Amino acid sequence: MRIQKITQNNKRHELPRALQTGFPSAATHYTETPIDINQELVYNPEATFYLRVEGNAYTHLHIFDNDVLIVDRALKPQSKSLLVITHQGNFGIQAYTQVPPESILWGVITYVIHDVR
Amino acid sequence: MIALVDCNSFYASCELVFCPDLWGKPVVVLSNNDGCIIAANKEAKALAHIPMFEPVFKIKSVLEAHQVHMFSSNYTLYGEMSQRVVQILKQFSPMVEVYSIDESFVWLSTPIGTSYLEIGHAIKNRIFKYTGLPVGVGIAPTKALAKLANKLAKKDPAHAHVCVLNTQHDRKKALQKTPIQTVWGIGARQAKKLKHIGVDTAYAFTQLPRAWVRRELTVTGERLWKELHGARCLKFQTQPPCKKAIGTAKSFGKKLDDLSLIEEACASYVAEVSEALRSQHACARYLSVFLQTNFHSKTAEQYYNSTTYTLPYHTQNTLLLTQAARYALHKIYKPGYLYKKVGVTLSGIVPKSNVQGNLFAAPKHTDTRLMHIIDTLNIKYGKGQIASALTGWRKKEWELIKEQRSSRYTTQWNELLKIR
Repeated sequence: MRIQKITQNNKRHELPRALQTGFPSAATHYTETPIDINQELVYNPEATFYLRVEGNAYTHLHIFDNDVLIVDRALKPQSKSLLVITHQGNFGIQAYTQVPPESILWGVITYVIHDVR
Repeated sequence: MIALVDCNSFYASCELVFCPDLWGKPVVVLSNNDGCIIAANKEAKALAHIPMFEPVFKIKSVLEAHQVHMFSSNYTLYGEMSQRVVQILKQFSPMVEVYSIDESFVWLSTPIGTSYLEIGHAIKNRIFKYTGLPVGVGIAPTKALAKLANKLAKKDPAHAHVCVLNTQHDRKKALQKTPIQTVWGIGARQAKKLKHIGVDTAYAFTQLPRAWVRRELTVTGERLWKELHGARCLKFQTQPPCKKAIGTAKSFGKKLDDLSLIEEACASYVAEVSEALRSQHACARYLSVFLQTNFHSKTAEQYYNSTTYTLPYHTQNTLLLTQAARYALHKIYKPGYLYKKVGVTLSGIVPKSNVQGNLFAAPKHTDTRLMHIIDTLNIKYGKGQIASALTGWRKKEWELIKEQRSSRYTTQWNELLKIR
C-alpha cells in the first residue's frame, strides 16, 4: 500500500453573508474567494523553489533571460516535462527526452514567469 | 510509536541543496562574525583537525589546504527550510513536536498494510525528494529510545539512516551499543558518575535499581530511566514553555569606542528582544545591559560592566525599553576602551494579562496598538523597517560580519538561485 498525501481542499466557496447595508444582493450565495495565484500555480509548497534564469541558453525552450521558473521537486517527470537537472556540478534545464546521462534530477519546471513589460 | 527525525549536518546541508558544484566536497558553516565552525558536512568532518566550534583563525591553514568551502550562517534560509521539513512531517501525522531547528518528534499510529520501517524510509525519502535535505529517522516506543534509535541509524550504515526498535530484543541490543555519555539527558558529570560505578552503556544504566537512579540523578534521571525501559514519561508538547528571560548579545563587526554607534547596536538588540517578548504575549519589568571589551586580546585594556534598569511597570513597549536601555548604557559606558559587544536582557517576565499599573505610572492602551502596527509592518516589509530613531542608519559600521553569506533563495525575490 502506497503512503499517499492528503490532498488539499480547494476552498473557493465562501459562506454566504449579506454585507450590503441596503438591499441584500442575490449574488450572496454565489460568492467565491478571489483567485490566488499561489493556490493555482503551486502544487507542493514544501517542494517548490523559484529559480531566476540568466542568459539566453534556453530560448529554444521558450525560456528567456530574467525569467523565473517555478520548480517542483515533488513531481514525477513526464514525457513532455522540462526539467532542472544538475550535470557535473552545474545546474541546467533540459527537456525530458534530452537529459544527458549521469545527470541528476533537481526538479520539474511547472511554470515560467516571463515579464513582458 | 514515536519517530525522531533529524537532518544530517543541517546548516551545511541547506547550503548544499543550492550548490551542486560542492556535492562531495568539504563544506563548513561559520558562526556570527565568521568566528567558529558551527556545522560541517560529512566530507569536512572526515578531515582531521576540524572539530566543531573551533575558531576559524586557528585552523585557517587546514581549511585552505583541503579547499574547504566556508559559508557564513544564513539563518533566514535555514529557518525556512526547517519549516518545509516540518510541513512534510505533518503529512505523515498531525502530532509533530518541533524540538529544534533540525529535529522533530512525530507520533506515528499503527501502520496498516505497511511497517514502521517502511514509514521511516518513506519519511526520509520524501524529505530528500522535496527539499534535498538528508535526514535520519529513529522509531521507538518512547522519546528517549527514539533519540537513541536515531543515533544508531546514523552510525551504522546497515540501517540506511532508518532504525526501528520494535522488539525487546532490538531495544536491548541498541541499549548495549550506546555509550552512556551519548544518551540524551545524561550530562558530562552524570556520565562520569555512572562510569565510576561501572555503568558505561545505556543498557547498564537501565539495569540499575530505580530507587538508586531517583536518589542520585533526581527525578529527571528517573524519567529517562523509565523512558529507556519503554515507558512514556515525556509528554507531547506543541508550545515551548514561556521564556523567563530574553536576551541577545552579538559581537560587533569591529571593535567600537564610539558611544553613539554602540547605542545604535543596543537599540537594535532591544527591538529584537521586545519582538520576542511580544510574540509570547508577555511584559518585562527589568532590562539589563552589559558592555565588554575583547577578553581574548592580550594587549587591550579590559573592561566589563553591567547594570539593570527597573521599569515603572511591566511593559512590552519597544520605545520605553529603548529609553531604559539608553539610560543604562550611559551609566556603564566609559570612553577610551575598544568594546567587543553589548548585550541586552529582559527579565521579570509575566504574561500580559497579569500586568497591573502602579500608582504613579500606568501603561497606555494605545501602546499595545502602536506595537501591533509596528510588528505587522515589519513582518510585511522586512525586519527593522520601522524602528526607533536610536537604531540609526550606520548598521554597516557595527553589524557583525558575514562575509560569505549565501543568498536567501527561498524568502527574497531578488535573491533567487540563478541558473544559466
